[in-house]
Amino acid sequence: MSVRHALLALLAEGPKYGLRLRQEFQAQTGEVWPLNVGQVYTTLHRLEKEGNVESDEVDGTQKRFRITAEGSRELQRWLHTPPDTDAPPRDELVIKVQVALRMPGVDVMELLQVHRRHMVEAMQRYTHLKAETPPGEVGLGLVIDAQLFRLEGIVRWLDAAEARLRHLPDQSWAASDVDLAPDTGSLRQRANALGGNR
Amino acid sequence: MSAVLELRTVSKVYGEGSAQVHALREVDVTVSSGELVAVMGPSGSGKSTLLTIAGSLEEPTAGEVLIGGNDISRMSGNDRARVRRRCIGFVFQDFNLLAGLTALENVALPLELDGLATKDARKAALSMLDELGLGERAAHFPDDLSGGERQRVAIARAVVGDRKLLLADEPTGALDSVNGEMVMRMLRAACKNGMAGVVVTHDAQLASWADRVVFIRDGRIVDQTRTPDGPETLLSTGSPS
Amino acid sequence: MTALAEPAVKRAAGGGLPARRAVIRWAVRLYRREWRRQILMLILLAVAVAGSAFGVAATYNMSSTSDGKFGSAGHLLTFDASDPAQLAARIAATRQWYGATDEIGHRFAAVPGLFDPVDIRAQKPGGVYSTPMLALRQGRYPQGPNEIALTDKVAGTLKAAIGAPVSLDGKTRTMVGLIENPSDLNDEFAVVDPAAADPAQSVTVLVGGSVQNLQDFRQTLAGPVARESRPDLSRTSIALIVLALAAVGLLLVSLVAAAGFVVAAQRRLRQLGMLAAIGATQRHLRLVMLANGAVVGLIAGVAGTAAGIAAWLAVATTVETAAGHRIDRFDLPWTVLGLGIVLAFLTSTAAAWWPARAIARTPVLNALSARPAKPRPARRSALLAIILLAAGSAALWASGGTSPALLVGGALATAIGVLFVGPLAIRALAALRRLMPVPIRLALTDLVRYQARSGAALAAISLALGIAAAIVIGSAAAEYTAHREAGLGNLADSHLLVRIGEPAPVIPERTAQQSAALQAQADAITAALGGSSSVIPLDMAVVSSHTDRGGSGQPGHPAVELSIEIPGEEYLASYPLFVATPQILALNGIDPATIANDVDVLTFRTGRFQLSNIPMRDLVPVTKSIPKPDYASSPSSLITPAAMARHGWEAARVGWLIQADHPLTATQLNAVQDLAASSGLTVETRREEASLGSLRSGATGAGALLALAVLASTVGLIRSEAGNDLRSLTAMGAPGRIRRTLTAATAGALALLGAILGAAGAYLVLAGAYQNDLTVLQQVPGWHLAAIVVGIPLLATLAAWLLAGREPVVFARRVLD
Repeated sequence: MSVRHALLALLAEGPKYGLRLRQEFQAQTGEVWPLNVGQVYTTLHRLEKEGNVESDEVDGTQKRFRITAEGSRELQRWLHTPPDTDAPPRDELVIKVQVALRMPGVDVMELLQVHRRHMVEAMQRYTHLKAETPPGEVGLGLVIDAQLFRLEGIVRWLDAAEARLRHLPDQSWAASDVDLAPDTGSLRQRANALGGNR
Repeated sequence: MSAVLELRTVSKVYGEGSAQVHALREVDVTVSSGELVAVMGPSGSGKSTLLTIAGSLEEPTAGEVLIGGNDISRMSGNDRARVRRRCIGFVFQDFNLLAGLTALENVALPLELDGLATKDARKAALSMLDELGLGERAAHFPDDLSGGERQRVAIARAVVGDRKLLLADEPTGALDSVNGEMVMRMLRAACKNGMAGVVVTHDAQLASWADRVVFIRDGRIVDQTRTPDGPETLLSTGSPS
Repeated sequence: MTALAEPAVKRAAGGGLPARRAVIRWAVRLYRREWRRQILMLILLAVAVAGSAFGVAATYNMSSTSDGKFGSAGHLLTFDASDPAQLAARIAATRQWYGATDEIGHRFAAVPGLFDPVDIRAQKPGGVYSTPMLALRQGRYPQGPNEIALTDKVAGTLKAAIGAPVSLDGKTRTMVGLIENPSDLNDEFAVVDPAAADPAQSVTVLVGGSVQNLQDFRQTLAGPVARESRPDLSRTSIALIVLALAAVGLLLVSLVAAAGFVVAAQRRLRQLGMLAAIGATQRHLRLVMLANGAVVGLIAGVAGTAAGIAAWLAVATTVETAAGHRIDRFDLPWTVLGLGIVLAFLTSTAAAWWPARAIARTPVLNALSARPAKPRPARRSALLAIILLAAGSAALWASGGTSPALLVGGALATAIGVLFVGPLAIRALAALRRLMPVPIRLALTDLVRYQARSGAALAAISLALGIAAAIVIGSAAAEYTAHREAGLGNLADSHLLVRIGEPAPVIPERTAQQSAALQAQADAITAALGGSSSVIPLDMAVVSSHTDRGGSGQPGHPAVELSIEIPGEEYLASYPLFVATPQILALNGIDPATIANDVDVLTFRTGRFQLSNIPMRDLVPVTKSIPKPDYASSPSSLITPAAMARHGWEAARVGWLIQADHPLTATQLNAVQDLAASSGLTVETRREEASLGSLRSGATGAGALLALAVLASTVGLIRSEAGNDLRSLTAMGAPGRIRRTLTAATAGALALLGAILGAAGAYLVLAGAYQNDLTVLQQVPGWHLAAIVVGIPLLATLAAWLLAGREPVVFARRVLD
């Protein structure tokens, strides 16, 4: 989970109090990612236990945290590790469409359009937020763009799915006994088989 | 808010006999002033035909096209040309500006075509270019402008002179994302200032700038988005993980 | 709903002046950007304009005016001065009637060794009307009774110089000046001070006013008065005729320019579509191309006129001798030249009209995607072609080869009709494509696909080659006609025809001494030729009882002539009759024994004859037909000594025919000319028939160049437009040879069609013009015609083949243009 690393990154700028860390975190993520005080302190204590962060006692009420050498190394390691994007296709939408293909009496095209509309509506909300944000607010812009590209990816998958189904003879997918919903295991098997052939 | 553009059961058929292609089938669309509508669909869905018919560049096979309440499908060629220069602004994907005319002259051209004296037309054009942050590029020829600048000059030309209707066909297609965003901000701002806008695109990101997205498939309008809620609802839909 | 409410400011419905100004501004900017692409049209038009400007300037200045005779006056009266009292009365009457008059007194003085007497004029320098007739070149004008001024030739003959004494007319005067008639450099005369001149033999009075006024004045005078009025044809009207001819040429050139404008319009299709999308009306779209045409016309007009005038200024001084009068280089018909510029402007604009109309009618969407409108079915242009060809042929036929208006109109209609056959011809050729290999098939398909361009190019090519073919065929026909008329030319190259004076109907009376002197000169000329030469004296019959004054004012006897009535005309054509001496009969190969005694005249001519210049009227001679002589200037109509004896006519020597035993050299001819000139004899020698071969070669070459230039621009365009096909072909692995074949086939097909159409059109037009004598068209100028019909297509194919292989065209690159 990246809240740990986000806090580490903020501490890399210099020693900070817990409340200040929460403010800066929210400012950077454009306040779309709310974080309560408890969450901040829990994470900081865990980091302290791991030796990534150390604290000093001031006035007995507030702690000031600073990053350790171990913490800097951990931050660097994390920055350069690729995120886990290569997850197997266990996406809920993919599963819904696959299920719909098997169910008689479901208009798959209509289903695709419903989801497309939802996605576009969501995108509209993000875009409109972006439109009302001054271009200078980079942090919020980055977060919104990430969301937009993710949603656009889904819309494009819906478009591709529609195009794929259109090219089949009319409704033939319903009666097909082709394995329309390969599970993760079969996908991995095929990938390995391809790799082995090489 | 008043309806600026109304398509009433508009159909368009190309070709004859076996080569007949139905580009539009009984399409109804209304766009009001202050509203930006995106028409989204894959290529060949009829979205470009919808735009050219709305812009009086083509005549519908059947149905009515009302701009400001007047049916332009019944007008003569000269009257439609007048509607185009007085009420409609076009922004195409590329190739928008006339070579040989400076940015300023390009923007002033529709006003001059409408009979405004050159001096007044240039004054209006310059203030429009200034508004869009292009004042310094006014004396440049299209060859000397970047792609984004050309597109923004094209928008200035489409907006100048109290137009009612702004029609754009993939206006960011040839641009990078930063320039694309700038262009869409401008289009949106133009609509907020009272124009009615129509953008046709296959791109969901581009469409999401619109107040309303109309989905078109095989010449038919199949769906449209509800007017979205304010951004505050985003926060309550759950934080992304 | 008020969305469409009229704007607060009142504006013209069509955009009015500001809109037109904006559109024209854009058109001019576009032209400035791409003028290089239209350079061919510009040069063509400019050359045509330059040619016409030069022609106008030259004809205006070269055409002999009547200024040498009339000065600036409108009429001249000649009074006989034999009765001084009557003369004085008449001059006084003239002065009273007209106010301003200008009198010139004449005395004719015979000079030994000079055939014509010298005209001594009592003329006031700077007279009211006579100023253009007298100018001082050196020295000063004479004053007082003892001074005289001479023209250079007279001075030369009299061996006079300024400051030296001159004996003339029985007086010795001092030559004080060298003069000339600037309006007629061949006018040779002397001038004395009118205040101190001897009594004149005759007086010329120059007057102004209308012809009616002159006639009214004539009524007030008793007795015969010779009067003459200035001919109507002014220099300006001659220049206008030249301009009218140039206009026809300009019209044809503008057809070529139209082809260029079609190409320019197609290039701009997308931009024009954009202009339409932002609200330009069809009228505005047309204006873009029209303004382009106007700009080209204006530039070509101004530049061409400037070039033409510059060329004229450069050569003007060298043509004065040929023109026979002084030329003020800067005295040009500016109005006519300005008219030429306007004409270039108008024809160029007219040439742009057709593409402008086609472009304005293209649907906006097609224009925006640079798809030209579908080619119109060839039926319509075929129909138009047939109508034009029929009308043109009918007009040519109706002209009977004589009516200029019908000929020009018919030729134009036929030419334009042939141009409209183009699309049909392209389709016909393309119909054969199934039999061809793939690259040629592709090339022919593209020609049909890009019909607007290929049709316009074909029109231009057939026009260029058609004009060349017309010149080639026409000149061959003209040469044939000339040969048929002239036989072997005027004289053999070993013959000389020596005449006494100029051929004139009145033969001056001569003393035996004079005759002997002339005979001596003829003998001297014969001697100058070297070798052994035979001299045949030429005599004419004169009526010795009848004395007349000839053109020079000298008394003489009229010579009997043979006149032939010309059907449908009121006048008679006259031919000289030479006395049929045995030598002349031998020359013509006639046995004297075959001539019956009652025969008056021997001639090869036919028609209704009568003898003229005799006191009797309607004397119809008994004629005998003889073969036509080989040489045109040989004595060909003869009068028999028997006829002369019957009427009491006498023989008078008019010249000699000298037959040398060798072709005469240039040196000998020069020596003979010098001898003759000093003794008042004129010499005729063989004139070389200027062969029209070089004209034909020039026409063929110019036509070929023009056609190849048009081809180069069009074929390049069609091939680069069809570049996508080429790219696919290359991607499919077609070798570079394919590219060459495609380009070569396109160029070859266009050139072949153009050559065939051009030659066919040329024959059609000439058949109309020569309809009375179609045999002359059977003289086919083989080599030149073959060069046009076969050579140029081959050349075009070869050039395209060679040039196309250089590098792949940059495909699919759509510049912002």
